Amino acid sequence: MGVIVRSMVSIVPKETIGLQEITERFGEENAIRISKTTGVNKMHIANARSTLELAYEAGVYAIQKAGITAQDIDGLLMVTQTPEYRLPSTACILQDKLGMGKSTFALDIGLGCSGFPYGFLTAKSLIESKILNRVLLICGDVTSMNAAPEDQSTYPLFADGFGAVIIEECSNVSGSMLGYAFGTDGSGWKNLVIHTGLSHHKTLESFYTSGDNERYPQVQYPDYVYMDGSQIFTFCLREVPPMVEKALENAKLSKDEIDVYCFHQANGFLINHIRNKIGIPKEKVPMCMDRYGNTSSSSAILAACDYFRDKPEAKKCKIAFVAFGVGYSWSTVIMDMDSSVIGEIQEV
Amino acid sequence: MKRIEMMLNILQVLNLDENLYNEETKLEMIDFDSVAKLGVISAIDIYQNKIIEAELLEECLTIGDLVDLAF
Repeated sequence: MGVIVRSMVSIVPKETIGLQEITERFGEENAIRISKTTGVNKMHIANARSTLELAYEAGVYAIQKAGITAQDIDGLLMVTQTPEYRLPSTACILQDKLGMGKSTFALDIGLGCSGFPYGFLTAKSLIESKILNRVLLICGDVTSMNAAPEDQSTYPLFADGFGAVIIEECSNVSGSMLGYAFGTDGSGWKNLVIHTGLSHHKTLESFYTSGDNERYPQVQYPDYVYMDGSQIFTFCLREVPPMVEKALENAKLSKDEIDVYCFHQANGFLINHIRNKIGIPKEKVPMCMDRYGNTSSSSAILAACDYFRDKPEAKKCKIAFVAFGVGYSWSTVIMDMDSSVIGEIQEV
Repeated sequence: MKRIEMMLNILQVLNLDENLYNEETKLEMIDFDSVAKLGVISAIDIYQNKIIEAELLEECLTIGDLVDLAF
């Protein structure tokens, strides 16, 4: 027994910000420089809308695209680092909101950029162990709410988007997954972190009274995301190319046999460098962050949906989803998919 | 790669005026921001196949110190 992807979709909120807003906030010279490096010209922003609302929209779209009902699904995995509440888990509320049965297995997975392959591997394991038949995997964050408006390294980069995938069992042993690789290095936690708001520092005041402001003097906005771009860049150069090679080896494929590499849309400069380092042709690495920014765990799904939007003819494709980031955490899955299951990005 | 070639590659990444094409040029005199740091890490990886730790950049005072990282 294996698993197949029945549908894969993504949504973004309608509201956008673009270079004009970034120019007004940081000045023209900075805006041009930031855009040139990140590759971002426009981003979709949730504003008053929340994770639950957007995850719900993505879930409904995935169910419609699959041609089933919510009652036909017995597993719900929600990959997010911007949950609706501190408790309960967002997956529990979504079970009710989507109209799924009370026998649903519902679980939040607290991962960011690397979350989609991890969620997929979790769903696959639950299905193959016969605990579940069909899983709705939703990946997404309202990352814009974590970016300090004054912070040039995060505000012009982090945007909002959600991907949703329905995964189900199939009789084929290999199913749609051909290979995988993953890894974790928690020693890098301090290079991409929000210090306050949960157990370690419940309040901003606690950050200062504990002396963490002196331990981490580089953190200017401790209740927003802090990112050390140089450290993250080095981590990615060190870990991502070997991960892709390991996943290819696991799949018993050469890099040329992959049709499309859907990278986490972290930063345009970084993706191009890694692509060159691995030796993948430009046309095999779709980039959509110019229009959608870095949307965390949904971004590799967005890249696939954007790539196949103008390729309506259905065909079997070998797609590598390559994700990496906060944690540090990294993961790749290589899938053999029918492109007709991939829906275009909807604005909601 | 010769040291001079590596220096030229780094200078190109930093997009400096020609009058600053000198190993003694102090980084405090140029816009050595996060974008420039990514460029230097990238150049050393491309030309020397060497991934340098980002914190080493913080210890560099001159262009020459950056070139040293590549070797």
